[in-house]
Order: sequence, then C-alpha cells, then structure tokens
Amino acid sequence: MILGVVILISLVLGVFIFSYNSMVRQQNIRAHHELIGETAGMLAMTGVQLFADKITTSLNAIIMAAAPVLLSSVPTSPTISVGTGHPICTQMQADFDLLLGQLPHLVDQSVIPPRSPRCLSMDISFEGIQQISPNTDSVQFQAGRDPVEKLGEIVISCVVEHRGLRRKAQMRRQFRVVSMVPGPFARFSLFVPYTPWPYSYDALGVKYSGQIDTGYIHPFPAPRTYTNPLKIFNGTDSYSGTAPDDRADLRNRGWIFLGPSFDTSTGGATGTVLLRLPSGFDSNTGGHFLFCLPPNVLSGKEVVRPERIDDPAHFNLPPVAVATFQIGGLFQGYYTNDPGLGANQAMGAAGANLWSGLVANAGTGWTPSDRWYCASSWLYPYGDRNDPSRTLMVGPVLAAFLKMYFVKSTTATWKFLIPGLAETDYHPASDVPNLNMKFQELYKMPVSAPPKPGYTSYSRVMPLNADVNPSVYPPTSGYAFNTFFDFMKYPPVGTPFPNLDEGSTILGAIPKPYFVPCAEAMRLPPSGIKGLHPFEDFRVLFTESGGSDPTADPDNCYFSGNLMAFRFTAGNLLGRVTHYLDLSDCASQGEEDDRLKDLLFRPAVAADGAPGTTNWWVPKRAGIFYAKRRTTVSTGGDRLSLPGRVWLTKPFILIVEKGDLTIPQKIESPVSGGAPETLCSLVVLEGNLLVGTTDEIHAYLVALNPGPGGHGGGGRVLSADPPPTGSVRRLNVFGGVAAWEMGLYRSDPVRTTMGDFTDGGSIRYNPRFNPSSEVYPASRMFLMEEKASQILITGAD
Amino acid sequence: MRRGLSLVEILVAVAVCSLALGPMVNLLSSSNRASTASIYEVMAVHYAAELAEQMTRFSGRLDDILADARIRSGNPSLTLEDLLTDPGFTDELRLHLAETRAVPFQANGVPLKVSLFVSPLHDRFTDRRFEVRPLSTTGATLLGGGVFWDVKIVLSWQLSPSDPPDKHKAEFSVILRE
Repeated sequence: MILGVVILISLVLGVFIFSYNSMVRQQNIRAHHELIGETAGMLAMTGVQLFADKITTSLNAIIMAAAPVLLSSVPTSPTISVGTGHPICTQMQADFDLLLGQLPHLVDQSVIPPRSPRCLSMDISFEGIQQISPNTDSVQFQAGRDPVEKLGEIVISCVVEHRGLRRKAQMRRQFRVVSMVPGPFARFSLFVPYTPWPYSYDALGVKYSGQIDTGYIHPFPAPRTYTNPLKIFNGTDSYSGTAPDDRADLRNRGWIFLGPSFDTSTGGATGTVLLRLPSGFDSNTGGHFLFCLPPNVLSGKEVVRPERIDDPAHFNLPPVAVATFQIGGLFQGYYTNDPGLGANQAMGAAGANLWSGLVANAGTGWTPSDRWYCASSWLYPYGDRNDPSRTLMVGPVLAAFLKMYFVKSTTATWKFLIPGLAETDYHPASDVPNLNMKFQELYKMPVSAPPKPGYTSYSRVMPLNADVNPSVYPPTSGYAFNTFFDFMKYPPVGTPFPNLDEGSTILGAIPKPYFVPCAEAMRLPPSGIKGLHPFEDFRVLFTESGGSDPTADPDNCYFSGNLMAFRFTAGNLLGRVTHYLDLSDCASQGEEDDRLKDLLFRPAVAADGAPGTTNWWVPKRAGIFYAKRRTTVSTGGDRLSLPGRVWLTKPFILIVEKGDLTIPQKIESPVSGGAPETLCSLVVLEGNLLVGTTDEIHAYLVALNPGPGGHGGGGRVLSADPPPTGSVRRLNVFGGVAAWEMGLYRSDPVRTTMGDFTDGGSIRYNPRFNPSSEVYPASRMFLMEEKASQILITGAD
Repeated sequence: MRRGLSLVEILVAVAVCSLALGPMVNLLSSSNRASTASIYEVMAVHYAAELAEQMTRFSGRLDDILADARIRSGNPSLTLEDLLTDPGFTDELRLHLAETRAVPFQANGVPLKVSLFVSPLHDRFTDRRFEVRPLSTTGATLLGGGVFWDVKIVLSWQLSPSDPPDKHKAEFSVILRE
C-alpha cells in the first residue's frame, strides 16, 4: 500500500514537474520569440528612421522623386500614397537590405543556406494634407499667400523578416511644405517703405569726372562724408545690350520699392523721393551713367557725341562763313566739384549757373551751405557703369539730372556753357557769353512776338537741372525713374506705365547700355509725373499667364495690397514656423546667444565643405525658426547674436521676436548659377539688424517694422561698429534687403542705414527669392518634425 | 494480527522514491535555471530596446553630436565607434546602481551634452555595452555615399555567480547613419 502511495505521489510530483517544465519551456520559447521579434522590430525601426533621415538630408530630392506635387501644386486631395512599388521605395528597400546583409551575428545558421535579416518592403504615404493659408480674403493677400504651402503627416513603413518572424515599423511625423522665401517683399532687391524726407538719399559728393569727391561734407543731419555709393545689382546677369526679351528679363530681376517721403504739409508719408543722378564719364571710376546719344569712338576712345540740334523752327545754326560751330547737349548727373570751374569749383554743378531760379546772380548768391543741392544719390538702384542692372522702380521716385548745352568750335575747346538767363535779363541783341555772336544770330526769331523774341529758342538750350527748384518741398516735378531709365522699360499691361519702345531701338544699336538714350522722353515737357509705378495697389504674381485678379485667380496671386502697409508679423507666420526657439528663461544676453548657438548651429567639419578650414558654423537643420526672447528684452536693447561665420548647408529663416540681431561675421552659401544656392533670411520683428562685417552676407535681411513707438525704434539695418570711429562702414549683401527706413533724416540725429554705412557697399539680388521667377518652386522645402508623433511596431503579413 | 510495514516495503518505497524523485528534482532544477535564463533574456531585450530606441532617435543628430565631440576631445577624426566604445562611457553603462540615470557620452573622458537614459542593471548582468562596426554601402544608390554603422548592443549575464561573466549574452543591432 505504501508503495502505491509513494508511486501515486511520485506520479503527481512528476505531473507537476513536467507541467512546470512545459510552462518553463513555453516561457523560454516566448522569451526567445520576443528576442527575435524585438530584434526584427529594432531593425524595422532602423529602416524607417534611415528612410526619414534620407528624406530630411536629401533636401527635397526624395520628395521630388516620390511625390513632386507636394512641392509644386495646390493640394487637391488629403492623401497621397506613394506605394511599395515606387522606384524610390524599392530602391530604399534594396539599399537597406544591403546593410542588413552585413550583420553576421544576426545570421540564422539553423537554415540552409544561412539567412540574414531581410527588408521585405518600404513604403511612404502622406495623410491629412491641407493648405497652410487656405483663406483668400484681402487680409491674407496683404500678408502674402503661397497656396502650395501645406502641412500634413508622413507615414513611413518598413517590414523586416528575421528568423522567420516579420515585424512592421510604422512612423508618423508631422510635415510642412514651406517656402524659404520670407515674404512678398523678397520680390524686391531693396524694399524700403518709408523715406524720412525727399532728399534722404542725396548725400554723395561726386566730381565732374565721376570720381568720389571726398572733400564734400554732407550737412544733414550731421556733417559727414560719404565715400562710396550703395549699389544695387538686381540679378545675376548684367544687362547685355543684346535686346533681351524685356518682359522675361525684368520678371526675373529684383525690383526696388522706395516708399514715399514724409511731407510736412500733409503730416504723413505722401511726398515724392528724389534721386539725383551722379555725374561721371571716366570709365575708371566705374560709376555712373551718361544720358546722351550713343558715343563716338575716336582713336579707340569713347567720346560723348554732341547732340545734333535738328530743329529748324527754333534754331538758326551759324553760317559756315561765320564759324564752324556745333550746338551740342548732353544729359548728365550732378557733381559737387569741377576743376574747370576754378574759383567756383566749390559750388559744384551750381557753379555752371544751373539754378537761375535759385541763385539770383549766377555764382554770387550761392553759399557753401547750398552745396548739398549738388550732391547726388548715395543709392545706385541700377548697378554701375561696369555692371548696369535693370530694375523696375516702384514708388514715387523721381530721377533728377542735369542738361548741359554748349556751343563747340571745331578748332577750339568745347564746353562753353551757355548760362541760364531769366527772360527779363535776356536780350536778342546781346552777345552770347563766351561767343562772339549775338543771340539773334544764333537763334531764329519766332514769328509771334511774345515771349521776348528768341527766348523760347534760347530756353531750349539753356542748361537746366531736373530738380527745378529744391526749395519746393517735396519736389512736385521731375522725371519718373522708370521713364528716365528706358533701357529698363517694362511694357505696359493696361496700366499707365510708360511705353518707351522707341528708346530700345536706339539702345539696340549700341553695345554699351550705360549710355541711356532717353532723349525723346526727356524732351517732353514734365507735365505731371509720368512713369511712377504705384505701390498702393500692387500685386506679386506667380506667373504672368495665370491671371492677376486675386478673386478670380487666387492661386496665382502671392500678394495683393499696399506695399507700404505690409508688416512682417507673427500673424502672417501662423503655420509657417517650423521650430520655436524658447529663450525666454535665459538670464542674460550671453545665455541667449549660447542657447541660440546650441539650438541652431554646430561647428563645421570637413565634410561640410566650407571654404578654408576653421571657425565656420553650419545650421543643424533646415526650417523657419522663431526665437522667443527673454521677457526683459526691449526693442533696440539687447542684441541677440549669431555665433560667427556661417556656412549655409541648409536653408533657414530666423525670426527674432523682439530686440536686435547682430550678424557678427560673413554668411556664405555655395554658389550655383551665379547666386547663393542655399537660402537664408534673417528677420527682426521689432528691432534692428546690426551688421558687424564688411564681408558679403548671403542672406535676405528683413527689419520691416518700425518697432514700438516707431521712429528709429526698429526697422533698420545698422552697423555694429559705425562711423566715425568704427570700422564697419560698408554693407555687402547677396540676397536682398527689406528695411522700414534707410535714408537720412534732415535734422533728426537718429541712426540710419545711410548714416552708418558711409562707405556704401552693394546689394546683389538673389533671384531664388523671387516668387515670380521660374526657380521659385525650388525655394519650397519639405520639412519633417524631428520627433515622430507615433511609432508602431507590429507583426506583418 | 499485527498490521504494519515491513522493512522490505519501506526499502522498496524508498528505492522507488529515489528513482522517481532524482530525475524530477534534476528536471525541476533545470526548469528553474531555464526559467531564470528566460527571465534574464527578456530583461536583456528590454535593456536593449531602451538603448536601441534612444540610439535610433539620435540618428538624425549624429553629425551634431560627433562635431561637438570632436571639438571637446580635440580629436578631429573621432568616429562614432570611438564615442560609443569610450572606456569611461562603457564603464558607466555597466555600473550597477539603484536608479535610472543619464549616462553622458564621453569623448576621451570629456563628457558631452548628450546622454543616454539607462535603467538599473540587474546584479546578475555583467555587461552592457556597444560594439560598433562600419558598414559598406558599395552597391547602394539612395544610401550610397553615407557613413553607416552597425551599432551592436551586447548584454551579458550570469545565471550563477560561478558562471563566466559572458557565458550568457544577447546581441541586438541598430543601423545608424553618420
């Protein structure tokens, strides 16, 4: 019996132990299964991560291949499925498989032949796609609207098989398609909505030859000498003079907006802006334009050709028997110094009696303090003589010039200027100054008596300046910039723009476009101001053929509204900002700078391809970054600073919420097609941009808002080390500049761009910022959130 | 008649018990060891998953991390292998501490700003480390030109104190792009 009990107990124990053993074995198998499954899951997760990395680092290339409509078209469907059979997915699968085949410790030796983990499929799709700016109301168009910008979710999947187990990893990430063009103002090489007074830009002393007159001291707002102009080059190719297609050529160039000047009579910005063109014929000076007929080439030298007076109704050319004379004329710019004027040279152009209405007695009523009337524009919107650059001037901008007539003896020297005379001082029987002839011998008498016989003819050849009477404030007569520079003509499209086609035929005959043959237009009486391009109802279109009415063709219209009213605010950033940089808890400016550096930049390594070997910083990631500054920062106060020299490997826009931003050193991008390839924009919402280098900055600089309180509170591009003691007096930008104001005030000592950059510089427009150019779609970037919103690892079929 | 157990019966019972219980006790012991082994295996999976997930997340930032490491270490040719197999970092990974902690990457002994969060290592685990090996991209197109690494996560444990430290181990892999 006891044996039976013992055997029974043993059997029970046996059953128990075998059950336990069976459970343990199951647990073992489950653990091993888990190990294999987890390994496969990790590999699948690696696969989706590598795919995501590839999409990020390829900077659009993968998206362009897999789903180009994301970057080029307005979304029409909330979902785009690429599919496992797409070449991009199969290629990625093959590449990942190649890597999986190099993991010897994961090779399954229990099968013949031994088998490595395998990638069975890769897939991407896009879900929940919607426009960032779906509204098409006027407010949206005033802010700028790119209908292609969108957001949604990308879903990346990868299936991996390991030791017979399959795992599928699926990653979801938010994405945005945003343009790296910061706004509609980027259509312009230079965008300056406000001008302190009409003569804000006229501060440069120029000699008659075109060389800079460094002896000239501009009196406003404080005595200062400007040693060079700020030249604007509006595209990558200078004007070739080979009759390009005007419409296409000008469409691809940056335009210029100079907003109206402050008018004391209205108490607002309603006045015109006057740019006095500088004098110059010396090609060695590199500057300036001459406005005359095409030049003669004599003995290999370009010689300004006298203008033939072919108006027999008013002119009676001297008979050959008396003398061989030519009456000539040329249009030229202003100058502050002419050695030929002798004792009057300090009067500049005024010494040639060009202001008969201003100076009661030629030469005698002039005072040294009046010399600023002869100073020319510090701003050259058209490049320079060596690199003329077309543009369209938008805004109430007048170009002022001089008209010099002379009588030239074939044997004597020329440039015998005929002085201006008031009609009351004119007498037909008087001798022409510097010429042994009387007026009535030189000019035909009109049939009708009044005005005084011959005076009408005489007035045709009197010297003049287009800035008829500088004492009128603001100027009300003059020639629109666009009229004057007819080689920059833009054919009208149902608008009152000037059509100066006749000028182009003359221009087509000459190889040097810096001679501006606009004689026909300049002979017209200045009845009103023709050729001003309005800024109050302005549109920036994506294509000219896509319609211009924002209500009928909203997706072809980028901007519609008043350029002067444009503000770069957080309101029109909604949805576009991809990263917020929170600096709000920083205790000091230094801490903010360090955090900005850590968040946005890293030191360059050799693989980045930066020129030279040291001290470059590169952006860590592409995106639109909004830096929220610490609460104690005030506009015009603490400056946030970039870390140093920046080599652009990824495009980015940095928007600084408040305060100033310092650009301490150069910003450089690889160059392609003659312009920086990687776009960078630096924006201060309420402060100023401070430039600490004279090296070229490859970026679009934006300081568009005057800041709290306005008037110098922000909205300017300034020098971080300004004159008179500082060394940064030159501004060089390859991209563009949009600043609320730039020009000098008349009496207010507030710092301005002009006051800080007395050595001028250059702004070269990067056509990649142009929403109307063919390359604009390339500015749109597909940007993913860095962290996945969801990663799922599941079994797979 | 007196009832009872004869000596023979007892001897037979003892013999039967011995014959039956001996293997069963062995089986029990073996099952216990196997059970323990599978527990450690599952723990190894979790330890590895913890590291793999973090390493995968670093994938897009490896360039930044390495650039920072190169500057701090003064070694411009420092690689991901140098970083993940740094002796100081590896020693930190295999420490047995009571709480979850952040283990900063180190470059030549200099700690970096980036850390790995690691769970406390069980006493029986003798090692938690990375082994790093470059992968060839010859023949790859989309992934061609990049630098890819096989980052192997190795975990070793002992079932008994007398076992060699690396008698039991599990190896996992993630692939990272530099």
